[in-house]
Amino acid sequence: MGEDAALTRQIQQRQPAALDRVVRDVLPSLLRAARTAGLDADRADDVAQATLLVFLRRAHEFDGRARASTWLHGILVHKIAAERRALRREDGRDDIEDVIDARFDAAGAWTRPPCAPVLDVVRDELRRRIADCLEGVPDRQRLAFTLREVEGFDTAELCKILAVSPNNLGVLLYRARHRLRECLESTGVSGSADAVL
Amino acid sequence: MLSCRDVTTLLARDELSAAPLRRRLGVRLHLFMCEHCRRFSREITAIGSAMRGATRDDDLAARAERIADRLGEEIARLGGPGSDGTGPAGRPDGSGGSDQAQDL
Repeated sequence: MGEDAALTRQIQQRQPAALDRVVRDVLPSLLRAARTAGLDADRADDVAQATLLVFLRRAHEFDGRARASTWLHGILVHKIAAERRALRREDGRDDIEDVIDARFDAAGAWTRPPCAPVLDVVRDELRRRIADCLEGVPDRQRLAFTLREVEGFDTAELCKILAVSPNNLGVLLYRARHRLRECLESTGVSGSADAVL
Repeated sequence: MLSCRDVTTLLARDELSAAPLRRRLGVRLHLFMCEHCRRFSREITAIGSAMRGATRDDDLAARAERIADRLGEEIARLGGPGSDGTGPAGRPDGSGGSDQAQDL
């Protein structure tokens, strides 16, 4: 999971070519994450740049145990959370839980099974709808879910980046997925079947 | 016996791959028998993979390029003597307390 030894050494030694490579590799995903966390494009640029400045100044401390991108996303989230309460707040009670509760009986069996047209929508249409539905997902849940599905971080990396326990991460992902699914189901579509998978 | 709620919770929390074998088999068996949970599972998988095209990042590459160019000056400045392209063998190891633990 860590960075390879040669690159780690080059980063620690602040070799310009290695630093430039890391910067260029990771910038798009930092910008995406900052926007996902609720910043507009200009502020996302600022935060990503500030994050990379921290990285450049502390490059000698990089120990290669985690990937550089994990380290960088951790700094980014820390910086955003310092400004944005919504991102810092731990998820306590969330009204999606009531929606989920209403789906199951006391024994945990479906009372209202999924009847979503989610799978019946053509992929481009699904993407458009997801982009709309994402706006209704709280920043922190959206960030966790996007880092998982789009940037591909594993559980250990995500816990480090978001500074949460595995259990806490599970709650974020669980709520984000249910929220998106409910949103997609409620928008209803009369699309053609079997186009997605 | 796992309930529908148990199964969907495990799936939505992404906990299946780390679960004990017995639990994973229980989920598989449940999905085999339960059409609704199967549907739920397929849906959240489809949502996950469609996410990759759902983020709006039209101007992202151009902005990333601009920032990287700006940071290039900082890199040149920080690189300083001894690391301006002289190769990995230029310095003895541990010159900057590099094995100090770094956690965020």
